[in-house]
Amino acid sequence: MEQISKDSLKIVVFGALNAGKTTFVERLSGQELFLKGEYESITTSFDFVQIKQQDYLIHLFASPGHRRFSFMWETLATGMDGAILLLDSTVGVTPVDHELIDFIEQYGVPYIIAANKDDIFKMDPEFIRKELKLSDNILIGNTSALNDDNLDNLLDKLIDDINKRNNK
Amino acid sequence: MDHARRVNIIPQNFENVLLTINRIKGVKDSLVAGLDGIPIGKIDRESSVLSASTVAALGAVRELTKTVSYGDLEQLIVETDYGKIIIEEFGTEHVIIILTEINANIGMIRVMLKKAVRDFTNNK
Repeated sequence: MEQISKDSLKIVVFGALNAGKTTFVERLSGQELFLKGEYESITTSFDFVQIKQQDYLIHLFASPGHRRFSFMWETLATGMDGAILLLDSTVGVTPVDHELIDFIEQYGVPYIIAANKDDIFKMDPEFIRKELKLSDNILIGNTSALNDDNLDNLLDKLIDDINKRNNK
Repeated sequence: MDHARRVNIIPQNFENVLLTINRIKGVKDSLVAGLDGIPIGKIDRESSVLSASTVAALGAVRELTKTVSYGDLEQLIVETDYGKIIIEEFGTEHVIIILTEINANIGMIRVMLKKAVRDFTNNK
C-alpha cells in the first residue's frame, strides 16, 4: 500500500534575473537559507529553505533567473504544489516573465504573481494582468522583499489556493 | 507528460531496500528521495538538503548528456576526499542516494545496488 504525504508542500519561486528571488525566500523564511546556489550574486543553481506556515512544512525553492540556467526550471518544478512568479517592478513585464507564465501553467498548479521592489516602483496589478493575459482568479500582489512587505500574506493566500484545489 | 503530477507517493518497503544497501561493506548511509527533491521518510535538514541538491544535480547532468547526445543517464557518482556519493533512479519517481567510505568497493556496491533496485521494482 502506498502512503500520500499531506503535511508538506513544495513551492517554487520563479522570476527573471534580478527580480529578487533569493532575497524573497530569505526574508520570507527569516533564516539563513539551507542552500544558496549563487556565484557572484547570480543564482546559478537554486535556493532552498524550509519554513512552517499554516501547519505545513513548506519546501521553498527559488529558481535561477538567468536564461542560461533555465534548464533547471523543469527539475525544480517537478512535484511542485504551487508557484510564485516574481516580477521586477522597476523593469516591468519582460519576455522571460511571459515565458515563465507559460511554463508554470503547464503544471496546472495554483500560482500567484508578486510584483517585487514595490519600495522603488509600484506596478499596477491590473497592468500586469493585462500584459500577461491573466484571468481574474490569479492573485497579483505588490511586495518588497527587501522590506519584508506583504510576503507572508501572499504565501498564505497561495496556500489557501492550494488547499482549495486539493479539497476539490 | 503529466506536469501536474505530485511526487508524494511513498514506495512501499523502501526501508527494506535501504537496510539491504546499508549492510554493504563501505556504505555509510543511504536515502530515498522523490524527484521533487523531498526526502522520503525522515525529513530533517541534512536529508532535505541532500535530496534537493541531488535531484538538482541529476537534472543538470541529464541536461549535459542530452546536450552532447551521450545517451541516457544511468547512475551518477560523485567523488570527494571523504568518499563517494552514488545516485541512481529508484522506480520512476524516486532516486536512491548512497554515501560511501573513501576505500569502499565501489564495484560491489554498484552491483548490489542494481540488484536491490531491480528486486524492489520486480516486487512492487
